[in-house]
Amino acid sequence: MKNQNIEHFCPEGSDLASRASARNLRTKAEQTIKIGNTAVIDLTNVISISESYADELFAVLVEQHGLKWFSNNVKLLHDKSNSNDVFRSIATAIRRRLESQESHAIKISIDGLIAAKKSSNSKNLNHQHA
Amino acid sequence: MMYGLWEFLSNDELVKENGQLLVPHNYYNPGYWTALVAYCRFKNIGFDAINIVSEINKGYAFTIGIEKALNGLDSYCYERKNSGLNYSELVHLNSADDTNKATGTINSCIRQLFDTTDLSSFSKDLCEVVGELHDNVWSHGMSTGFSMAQKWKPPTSLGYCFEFALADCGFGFLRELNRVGLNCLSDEDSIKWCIEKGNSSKTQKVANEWSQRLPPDIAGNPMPGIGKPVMSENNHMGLGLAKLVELVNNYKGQLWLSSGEKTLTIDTNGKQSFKNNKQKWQGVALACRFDTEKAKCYKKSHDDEAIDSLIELLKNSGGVEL
Repeated sequence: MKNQNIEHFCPEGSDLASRASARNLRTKAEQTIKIGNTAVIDLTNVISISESYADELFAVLVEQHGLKWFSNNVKLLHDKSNSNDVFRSIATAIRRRLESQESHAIKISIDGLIAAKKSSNSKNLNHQHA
Repeated sequence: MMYGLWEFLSNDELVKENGQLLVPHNYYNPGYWTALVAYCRFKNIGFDAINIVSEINKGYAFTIGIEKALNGLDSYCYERKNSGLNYSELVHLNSADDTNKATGTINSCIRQLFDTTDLSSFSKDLCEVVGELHDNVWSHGMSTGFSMAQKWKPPTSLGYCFEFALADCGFGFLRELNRVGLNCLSDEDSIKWCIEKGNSSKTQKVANEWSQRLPPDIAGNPMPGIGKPVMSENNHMGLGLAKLVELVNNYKGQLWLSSGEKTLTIDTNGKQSFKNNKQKWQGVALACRFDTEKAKCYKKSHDDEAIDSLIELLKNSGGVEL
């Protein structure tokens, strides 16, 4: 199993809107991933996120590196009470970047990623118990 | 009568011969106040040169922080008890960092105002648009932008009215589009272009790859006809104004969007029309107004299965749920 270090990034503010600040955060996240770390974006204090911010921070990463890379290297720390709205903004921004792909095709590839992730998580758990 | 952005732009003699800007006794809403403050700041008109006739209006001007916005001082000596409840104070969009802060200020006010289940979708969509617009103003408005929001009870509706407005004295649409090499001929055409989804001046490619390179944030072009700005990394999607128009149409709101000599208005039936401004507006000013009774009626549908799957993936990304 790959032993990755984690670096936390915590955007300032409850309502994220500025593309410029999202771009700065993305650059830092990309740098840490490049040296083998996992980037954890802490969204626990975030209540709303504009599509432009979500696009600049998350969707651009997906467009440049792919969904699998994103899913393996970027983790989101979230507060359950706000997560649906925040995640919908992020998902909408990513979807817009993947506009050329059919909805069903995206769903199939994401379902595959989720299944692989769940299987890997359960293997890790079994490994720990053993 | 209620005075808003349009009434501000309909006044062809804002500054009198004695150098004073007269604000007659009336009822003013955010569109008026944001335009007034952005205009005064741009023209270096201090708070003392604004002649607010009515004591009630003057008190309100102090409450929303006009003195602070223009003179940097705040002599208002009372607690602003209703700040964030009925109105937000004027917010100056001064830097990229301020964009998130300003969005937080206006959005927490919106969430307070519409803290009911039947308005939650409206509140969420509005918050998102406010963020987009603030970022637009920061990107295009060169630190000259102000925004504010206010709720009031109109005599003709069972619900409340709400208005969000912002104004900047940046390039304006026409100058900005021509600056990046789009040959737009009129203010009306430039407004029409800017409200189309996917259109952003920030994404325009330089027509001639061999033209002299200038930094992307340069103000004006010192080498007309030769130099063109070059955007280094640019992911702008042109969503802000298109989202605003969609919001206004979905929730049966009203919009005034002004730049240069024209104002685009959208009424509660979605009808668009253009008016001539008596007061030419340097930059961009807008006001959107909603009636909560009408806003309640819109039911949003989420029917893209890819988005639902993406949400699932994000939730399962291995992050910790608190």
